[in-house]
Amino acid sequence: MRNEVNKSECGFTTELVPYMYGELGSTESGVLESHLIECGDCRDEFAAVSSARYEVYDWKQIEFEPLTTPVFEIPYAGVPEPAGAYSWVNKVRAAFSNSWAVPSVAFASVALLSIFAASFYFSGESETVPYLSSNVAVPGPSISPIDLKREVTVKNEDKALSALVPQSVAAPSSTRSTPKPRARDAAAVKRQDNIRTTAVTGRPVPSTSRRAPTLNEFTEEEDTSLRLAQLFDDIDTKD
Amino acid sequence: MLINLTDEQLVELAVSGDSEAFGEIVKRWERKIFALCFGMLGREDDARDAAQETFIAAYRNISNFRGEAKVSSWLHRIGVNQCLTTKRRARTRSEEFLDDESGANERIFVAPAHRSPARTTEQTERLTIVRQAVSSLPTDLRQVIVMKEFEEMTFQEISETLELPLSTVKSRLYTALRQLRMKLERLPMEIG
Repeated sequence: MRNEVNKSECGFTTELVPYMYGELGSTESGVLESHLIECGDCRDEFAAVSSARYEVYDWKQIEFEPLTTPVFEIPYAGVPEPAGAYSWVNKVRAAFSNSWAVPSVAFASVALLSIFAASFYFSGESETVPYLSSNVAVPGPSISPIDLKREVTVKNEDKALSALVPQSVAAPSSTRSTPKPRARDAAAVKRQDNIRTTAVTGRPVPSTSRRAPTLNEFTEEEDTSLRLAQLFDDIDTKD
Repeated sequence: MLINLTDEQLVELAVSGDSEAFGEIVKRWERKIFALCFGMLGREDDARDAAQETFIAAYRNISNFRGEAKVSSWLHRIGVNQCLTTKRRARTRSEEFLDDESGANERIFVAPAHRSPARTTEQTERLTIVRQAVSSLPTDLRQVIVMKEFEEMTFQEISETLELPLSTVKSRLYTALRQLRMKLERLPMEIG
């Protein structure tokens, strides 16, 4: 059928349609118009395709143009979501699509790491730093940087005193009393005074964390918790 | 806000679940797709249903849109496929829309006041013949006529949408109009 239609031997037949729709350049249009004046076959062809086009155009103008466009409602709830709309890959891609997202995440990570490192460092110091003359590590509240500084001062005083005393004399001995240990005790008293002074100034230094409790300081408190023996007594009473 | 976005940007938003973005796409192309469906099917109610199905299918498959073609081309292809599906279904039900005389008579056609009843009847018959002639064209030929006349696309736009050379589009439309002319000359005798 199509071969029957394309029987025109003129090379202008394919230009007829663009010319009819006004999509041919001005130069080509002039050439075609000159040809149409001379060529009867092309004039017939042009008349045939123009009349066919007019029929379709008329159909559209009469039946379609008066129609209002219907309201198309997409039932989003009923229609399954587009595949991948909520996939985690898309979420990650969307999160990192912003230019500020990567630097923000990096900064937050560094800040978190710094906080963790600092807390770990200070908590470790509070467990290992000896308090005053006692070498016993006492678990207690974490020590503040101010307390650490004071502790370092005290240690320096210890070193200064021990430097004044010869090693043979400085060593504690049960049989021989020397003024140097006495001086060491004095230093200890001085240290205690320092602590008291510090406490007076109102610094939050918990006394329990200062030194290890001794047996003399033990205070007996009444234990009011329920004991297993009492439970047995209750059972016997019931029987 | 959405009005300023391109079709491709709207599709990206719609893929991420933004239904308003897809609503904007529908708003932009509903008239063209409705015209396409009307030209391909020839009846208002069928065109409305096919256009509706076109947009639903587009939303359902929007994640498959790769951006290699224009959104209008993508919608057009879905629309043509939907029209062909509608016609296939109609054929299986043995309901030829355009051959159905009762269907043609049911159409609401308000004639202009200055036209006589005889002229109105003549025009109605003529429109029936045109619809039937267009409907009987091969799909590829019918498609270019509908795109040109109903969607008012340029040859360049048709070329991009169908991914065909410009010369092929021109020759295809020429062939379509020539065949239509021949059918229009033959059909009145066949119907009469």
